[in-house]
Amino acid sequence: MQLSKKSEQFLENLRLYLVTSGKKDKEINDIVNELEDHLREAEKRGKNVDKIIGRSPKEYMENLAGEMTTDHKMIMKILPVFLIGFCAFIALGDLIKEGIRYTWLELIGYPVTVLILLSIIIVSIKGMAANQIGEKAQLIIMSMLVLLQIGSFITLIFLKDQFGPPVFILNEVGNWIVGIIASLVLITISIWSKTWTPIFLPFAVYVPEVVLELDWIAERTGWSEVTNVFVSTGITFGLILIYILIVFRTLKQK
Amino acid sequence: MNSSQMLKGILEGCLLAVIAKGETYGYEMIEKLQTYGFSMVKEGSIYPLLLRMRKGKLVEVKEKSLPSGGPPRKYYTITKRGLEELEVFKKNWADVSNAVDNVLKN
Repeated sequence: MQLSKKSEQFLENLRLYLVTSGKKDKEINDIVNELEDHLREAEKRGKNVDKIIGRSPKEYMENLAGEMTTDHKMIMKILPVFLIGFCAFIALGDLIKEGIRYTWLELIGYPVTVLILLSIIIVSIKGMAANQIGEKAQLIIMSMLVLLQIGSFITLIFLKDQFGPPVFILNEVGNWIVGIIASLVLITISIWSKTWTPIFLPFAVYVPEVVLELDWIAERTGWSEVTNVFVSTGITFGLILIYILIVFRTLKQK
Repeated sequence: MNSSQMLKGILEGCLLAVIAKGETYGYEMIEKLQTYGFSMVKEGSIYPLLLRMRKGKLVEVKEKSLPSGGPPRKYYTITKRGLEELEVFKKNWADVSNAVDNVLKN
């Protein structure tokens, strides 16, 4: 017998909550499967998921999470990989545009900004899962998060020249070497993490901008630089949103 | 200790007792508890307790796949340590229930 939509949603949210709480994969699968089995049996006898979970789903999820092991080792592994990947991503974009030349603001600002953004995203996903937010609200919150990310990086890019001259500049050979290393890093992380994100993200962010600035295209559109920035940001935003939706859907099907 | 914590402790002891009677799984445990009169317990509340009992090595889990499909079912059996814990619970409970009875009688 198929589970009711409500039960399925609860199980999905529980999984998301436990993943964003840094619990061990195996323990997450264990408890989600066990609850699925229970819900199936209960629904066969006409019981409703609210009666089984009791109180608030949020409280129940907290309760379960409290009894599970947090995977500190995995977190300590993922965080540096994430930071290195992010640096490769930023370097790649700068290479395409103007070569590597960083001011102090960028050298410090990028890693700090990305860590803050990452915490905001994780806390939001966890909050959405615990409070059983509907799909429409989820989409709005996600869109705002993506906008927030793009916005904070655009701010950094606009601000970078206000804080002194570049302190880290590479010549052409240096740029090539960084470019090759950055690409290899992103591909390796993509294989390691078994996701397309490390490859897709640079693609979505840089390709629209580069394409719009190609002489052949620019002559035909006749757009100013500012228009180009807006249009390419819009395309990037759309691509990322579609990507997130696809990833979510495949996750749900698992 | 508030009343829900007290109930948790009691529930844990009763779960051990149910598992001690022979291999069983989550849904069956709650059905058994309900036939004994535990109607105040939300079904889901046994799972955090089962997680803790598993971590404390009071119970062991074996998975068996079901002919009807769905995820494999987890069957629990009690360990030696679980039996010891059950004896402790029985003794504590006898003390508490005895004390409560005395208070209420007078």
